[in-house]
Amino acid sequence: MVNIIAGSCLMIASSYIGLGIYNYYKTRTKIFADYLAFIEFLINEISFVNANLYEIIDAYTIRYDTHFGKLANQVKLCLQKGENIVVKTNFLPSAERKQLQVFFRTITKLDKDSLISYFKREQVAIESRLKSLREDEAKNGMLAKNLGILIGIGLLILVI
Amino acid sequence: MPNPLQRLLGIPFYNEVCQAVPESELTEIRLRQGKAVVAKNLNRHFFVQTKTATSELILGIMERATNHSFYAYEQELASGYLFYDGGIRIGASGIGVAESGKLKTFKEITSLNIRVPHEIIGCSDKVSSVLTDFSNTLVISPPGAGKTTLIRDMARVLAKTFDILIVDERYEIAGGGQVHFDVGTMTDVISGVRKEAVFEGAIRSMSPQIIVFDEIFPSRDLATIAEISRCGIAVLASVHSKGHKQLITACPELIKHFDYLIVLASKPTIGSIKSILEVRNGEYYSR
Repeated sequence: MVNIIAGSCLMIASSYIGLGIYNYYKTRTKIFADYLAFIEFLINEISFVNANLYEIIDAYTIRYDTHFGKLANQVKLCLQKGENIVVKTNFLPSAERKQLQVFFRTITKLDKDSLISYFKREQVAIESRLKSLREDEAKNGMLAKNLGILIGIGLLILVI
Repeated sequence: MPNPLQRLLGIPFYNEVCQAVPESELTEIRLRQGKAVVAKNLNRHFFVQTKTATSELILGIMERATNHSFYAYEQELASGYLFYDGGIRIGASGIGVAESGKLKTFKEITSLNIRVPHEIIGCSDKVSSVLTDFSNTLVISPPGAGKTTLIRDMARVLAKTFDILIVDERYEIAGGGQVHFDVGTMTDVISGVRKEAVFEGAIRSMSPQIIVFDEIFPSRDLATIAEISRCGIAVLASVHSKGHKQLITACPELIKHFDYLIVLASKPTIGSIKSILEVRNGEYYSR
């Protein structure tokens, strides 16, 4: 009986780790997909409404309750307090967090024409990044998920 | 809670500027990239010791002045100034971008002129003779001689008796959407739009007895002034000119619409009254 309970616990823990790793890859991909959509949102708002950045981000965060929306909300709070823009998340490695910070810092400084050109360049870069992230998700994420479950089942069998 | 100037400059730079000139006396701060920062009071200028205007400093101020949205302020920049809370006006210059022969925006900003407005309650006491028997009045002076401060206080006094409408194109008279300065109890304010764009509707909807304008440009605003006068509404306005003689020579048509001319000078101090003239049948009489 004890063996069955211990084996089940190990299987759940192993599967949980595998799913966690899969979720990490999935969320990263989702962040970048939303980042791309956010740039499109910015282009529309800046071209047609001419609202300031705080108002645009505010409108975005109200409309989209996503992980990227939460990051955008951090930026909104920095703008509100007049503080340096800092983005904090465990789902992006340091280099990607910095890239996002640089993006938000840059768009506060540019005139409209430069901004639109910058967005176009960013869109190309993000699309390419998104492609590799989707591949990572399909390859590494799925591998981690399947391995987690399989190792779990293996441990359960061994313990029993 | 920091005040508008502290928010605009950032506390460390604000403190450095205020060591040179206290905020209560500060009228202007000039930043030129690579040069010493200059702060001015009513009488003279001071170099802010140890402070050179770097591009980072200028960019930081511009970021705050534009609410971190430089792109949204191109129109204001193209007209030569930005408005910030508390009636602070920021003039900018640098590498311009032109479109259809007109300045569109600045790619790179290398100089800033930050003008800090001051409310001097009672400064219109010196022109009380005009206020007691008010009729179309033009305040004349070169830039930075106190025109706006004077007409703001004149509006405050006149608003005890008359319904006043201030058309505050550059947010300088009232100090912004939420009126920052005391412009009187019976005063309505329209901010941020050109005079000719609003005066017709404003006359119908607000029925003012006196309309107040700051810094009129004869070539642009003459027709508006003429229309308002024709409607039987009094005008209080200001114009840039060294003196009334220069204005009469340059734009005799404008003077015809005014009954009083108040000429200001920046010496011995800003806001000094050089002369008050009454215009009668094309003749000028000192009051």
